[in-house]
Amino acid sequence: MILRFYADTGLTVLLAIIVGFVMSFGSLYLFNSISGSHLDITDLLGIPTFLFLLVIWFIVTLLAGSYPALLLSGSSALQLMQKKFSRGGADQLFRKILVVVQFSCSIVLIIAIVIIYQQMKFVGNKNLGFNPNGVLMVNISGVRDPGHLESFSNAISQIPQVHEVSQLQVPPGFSASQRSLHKGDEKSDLTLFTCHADGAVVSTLGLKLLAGKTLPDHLSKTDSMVYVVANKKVIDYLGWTPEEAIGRKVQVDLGNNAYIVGVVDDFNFLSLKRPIEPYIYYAANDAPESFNAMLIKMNTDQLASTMDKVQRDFAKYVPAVAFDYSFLDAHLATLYNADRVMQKVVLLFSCLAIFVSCLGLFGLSAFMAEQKTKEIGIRKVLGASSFSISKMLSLNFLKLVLLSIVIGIPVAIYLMQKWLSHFEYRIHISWLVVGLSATTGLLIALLTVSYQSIKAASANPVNSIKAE
Amino acid sequence: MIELSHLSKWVKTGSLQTFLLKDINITINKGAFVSIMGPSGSGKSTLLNVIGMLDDWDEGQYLFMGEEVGKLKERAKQALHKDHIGFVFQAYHLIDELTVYENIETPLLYQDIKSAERKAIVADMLDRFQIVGKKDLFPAQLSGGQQQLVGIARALVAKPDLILADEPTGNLNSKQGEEIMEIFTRLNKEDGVTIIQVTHSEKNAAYGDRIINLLDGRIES
Ligand SMILES: Nc1ncnc2c1ncn2[C@@H]1O[C@H](COP(=O)(O)OP(=O)(O)OP(=O)(O)O)[C@@H](O)[C@H]1O
Ligand SMILES: [Mg+2]
Repeated sequence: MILRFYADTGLTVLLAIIVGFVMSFGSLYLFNSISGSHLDITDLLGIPTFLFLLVIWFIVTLLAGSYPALLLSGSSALQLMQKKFSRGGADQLFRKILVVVQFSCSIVLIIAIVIIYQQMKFVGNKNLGFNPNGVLMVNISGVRDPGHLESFSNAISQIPQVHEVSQLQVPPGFSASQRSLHKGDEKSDLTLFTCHADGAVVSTLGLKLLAGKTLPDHLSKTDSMVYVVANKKVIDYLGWTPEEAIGRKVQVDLGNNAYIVGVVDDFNFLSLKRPIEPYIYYAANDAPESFNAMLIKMNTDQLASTMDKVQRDFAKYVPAVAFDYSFLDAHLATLYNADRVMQKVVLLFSCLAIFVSCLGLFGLSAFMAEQKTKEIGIRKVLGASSFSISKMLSLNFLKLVLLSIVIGIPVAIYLMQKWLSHFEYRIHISWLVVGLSATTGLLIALLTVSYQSIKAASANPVNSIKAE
Repeated sequence: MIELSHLSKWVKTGSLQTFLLKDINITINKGAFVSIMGPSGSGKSTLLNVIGMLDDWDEGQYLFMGEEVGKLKERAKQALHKDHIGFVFQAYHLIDELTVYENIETPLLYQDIKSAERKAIVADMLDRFQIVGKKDLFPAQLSGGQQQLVGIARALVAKPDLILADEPTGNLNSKQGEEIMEIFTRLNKEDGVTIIQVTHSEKNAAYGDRIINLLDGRIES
């Protein structure tokens, strides 16, 4: 008798595994395209996979088969006849717990996906303190002759769509040189990022000049000064207002001759996951770092033709160097690639989880409606309307779903806060969003359950009463 | 109140047609107390289910309070159940998950009655059937006779105009049976409630003012 339960369960589980295995071939493609990984079908066919499936089969069969086997063989014939066991708490409680667990997971995932979307949108729309749109970056690290770049720069400045051209060590989004910022004769210092640039950098990036002016474009051969445009973090540390800072000497490991000529507002020179730190642009003769990139701020209305002209000029004035370019905004977006993959994966799993938990709910509601057919019939004879009966059945599930929501919300908030803490700049989790997500889950659940409820409620009472 | 004319009901098994009810003609007026008798399997419960609009029939016409039942919508039947009819089932049909108290209260839940008032009505019923002590027990914890009493109490609690009782005293001793019959008689005489009961007992049948004898789905007399 007990063996039969195991045989039954074993067969069901085997079928499920086979179906799942076949389906995994299809989902492999989907997974690869989402996560950017390159799993091959042959990876699925190895011995380890089959061993793993075998173990799963064994464990699931053992677990799932034990329950009815123990339950039924443990009860006496009299108990079975009186159907005491089917009403018994344990069986239903178990099903309910399963449904609550499944649904809690769905709620967590629904909330997670909404918050992830919000944060990614926030990242995309955040005012960075500079404007990366329409800024073309051209790699010039391979160019030997500065004269070539000069001619190239002059040539493209003639294109009406090109607004600004600037040369610098690294654009935002790439790491600049790290030096130390010293204050007076204090021993302590602060990490400082420095970037060699020309004067057009401020206007090309759209930085906000708070005081002073930008870096000089041309330095006389004998000039030994180091000109500095500092961000606000630098002068905050030094305890100056922007106006006070102009013309002051700063200790930034760039010799003894560095003076501030301008102050710009803070800007996110790295990803939004990092806080803003002291940053300077400097210009000097014999700078320790060379220019690696040329930034070209352009109007992107006729992008194709503009790009065409820029590329042609590059080939003409900078021969024998490949035109290696990308757009600054696109590059900044790649800083969040991992998060975007996560967004897609979470979305996929949310859909799966919601689907599976709806299946669970559907099954449980069918089972409960089945168990209650007699009760439903009796209630209808006693004057209950179909509506009040489907309400009664649905309310039953509403309790489970509400419990899932109560469990799911704190878990979701905890996990999301953890994820958000990776971002220096992040959204606040709003109760409205959490509430709306939970409500969505609730509606999906109600929709699932109402099918069974309505079906059960509109059945002819006498059939269910007679079916003793 | 109830008018059945040439009403037949059958089942088909293969090409074989078995009549459960055949050419039934009955008129039952408001305030009547009718007993249906007949051997086991003669179709008494089937007839009662048809009268109670729980079951369909295949031929003939049924008028309930002047309305053609065959044309009534589900919702209309439900309203008639709610407002006019109390059922006592042969198999009790109590709700297993509810206590005695809740079982009796159930019809009132669908009647728009305030909670305090419900309490009073149910308490009165428990008292009348001497099952106050059992009010918190579940049906499975009761004897057959006690379940039957709960079933009757539930049928009466909403003060229906028509009581359809299928062997209401089948599991009761003769003294309890008499008490139930007296309750029925009082309801019939004093409140004008129409009662149709199925019974095997000549003595109980005699409480009614008319006896319908069924045999193989036909009315004998
Ligand atoms: N859905 C059905 N399909 C086939 N036969 C049915 C169906 N419902 C009832 N019957 C048959 O109809 C006959 C009458 O049944 P019914 O329950 O009305 O008898 P009864 O007079 O109430 O008997 P008892 O005194 O035992 O309660 C029985 O022979 C039963 O087998
Ligand atoms: Mg019967």
